[in-house]
Amino acid sequence: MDEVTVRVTVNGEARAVRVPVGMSLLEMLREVLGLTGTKYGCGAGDCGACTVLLDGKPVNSCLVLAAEVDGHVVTTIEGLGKAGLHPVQEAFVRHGAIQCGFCSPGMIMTAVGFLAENPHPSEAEVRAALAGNLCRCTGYAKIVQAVLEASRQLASLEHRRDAIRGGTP
Amino acid sequence: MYPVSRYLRPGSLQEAIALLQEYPGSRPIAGGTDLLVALKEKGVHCDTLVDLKGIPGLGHLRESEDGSVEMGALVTIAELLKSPVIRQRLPLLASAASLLGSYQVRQRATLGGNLCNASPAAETACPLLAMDARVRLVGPRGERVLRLADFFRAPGQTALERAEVLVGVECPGVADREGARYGGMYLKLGPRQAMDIAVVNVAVWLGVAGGRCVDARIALGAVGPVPFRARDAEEALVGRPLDAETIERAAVAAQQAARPIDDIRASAWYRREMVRNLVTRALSGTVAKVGRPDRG
Repeated sequence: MDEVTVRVTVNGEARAVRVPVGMSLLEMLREVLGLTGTKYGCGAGDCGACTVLLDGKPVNSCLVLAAEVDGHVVTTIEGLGKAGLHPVQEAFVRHGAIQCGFCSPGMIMTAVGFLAENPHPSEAEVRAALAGNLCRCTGYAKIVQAVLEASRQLASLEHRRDAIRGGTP
Repeated sequence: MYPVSRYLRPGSLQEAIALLQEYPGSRPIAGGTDLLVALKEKGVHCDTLVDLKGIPGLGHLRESEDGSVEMGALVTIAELLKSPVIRQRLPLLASAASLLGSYQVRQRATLGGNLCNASPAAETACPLLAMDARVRLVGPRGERVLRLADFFRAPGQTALERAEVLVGVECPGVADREGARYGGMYLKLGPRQAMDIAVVNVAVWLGVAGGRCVDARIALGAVGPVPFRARDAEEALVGRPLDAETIERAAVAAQQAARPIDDIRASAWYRREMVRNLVTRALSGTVAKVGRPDRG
């Protein structure tokens, strides 16, 4: 099997690693970069536990080759929240949306990517966006509530930021 | 670890075709959401991947003055969903795109990949068949255009020749017959809300004028070796008022055209029943949207 050098920005840091061409992004993150927050669930793109942001978009990292992210930007769960927790993570904690925690990184990364694209979703839209993330513990209700609340938090943060920028109270 | 020996990233279509010729065990990869699973779990052998994503000019999505729509093979399903052109001109395709895979899969999966994977249940197939789509192929012998109806040959098999690449899909504009109103519905039957392969797919597109059907397209998926147009069912509609009796005749004709198999997702009998139900539902739903016999 050939090897390839992958130059990729991960969580804001430029990395260059040499990996076998058959290695998935998921394997590269966990085994080469030691970022084990991203989980291996099914390895086939069904469960969403491996979700990361690739150029800001949620993808199943088990279905991306490491070689394919050369020149791209990856964000994992470890890359959220610069000083403390990201609003989505905070909402998950507040709502009890985490039980065993295995699905949580994937759920949160999907939610973060989704809310960036759809900042004011309906409940139905949240459920559709999370349909590719399986949870065996929570029954999803608190996860959905957490994402909806996070959307309101993020919207009000934006509103406050815009208000300050625009000079209006 | 995927069982792949070589990964190549050509910068042009000609380079990609040359590589696909040079390496007999090679396959093109776009989104990879079907291919990588097939390599790992379905015993598909491929020692060389030729990544198409570095080729410029395959990601376009544009509408022409005559109302026709052109889509590059590398347009992702997510991009189809976000496109106002697709929502307005090809609403059935937008519907189908929203039902493909999951949010994550849709960010990577491509229109070209969905067609070339050639599942009889391929989500984008029925809407495109209903809109008389054509596919543009480029290979060692040059460029050719095929009707999508001629592109699917068997489950998982297309008309692509060795080292040939699907580069784009075109849908002609909807013929503007005077006074005709057009509309349709896409229905997918399956046990889950997402991440599911259809038990039955139905795409219906109708033109109605003067209380009568002037144009009818009915495309069925997952009920035969390839997705197809139910021509007899379409003929049962054209020229007739779209009343319950006519709709039933068409639904029965569609049912008779279906050639489903028993498999792990459903029995052939159930699929035939559901063809009739879903075609009825799609026709009635479309009629409710674009016009009834008494409203003309």
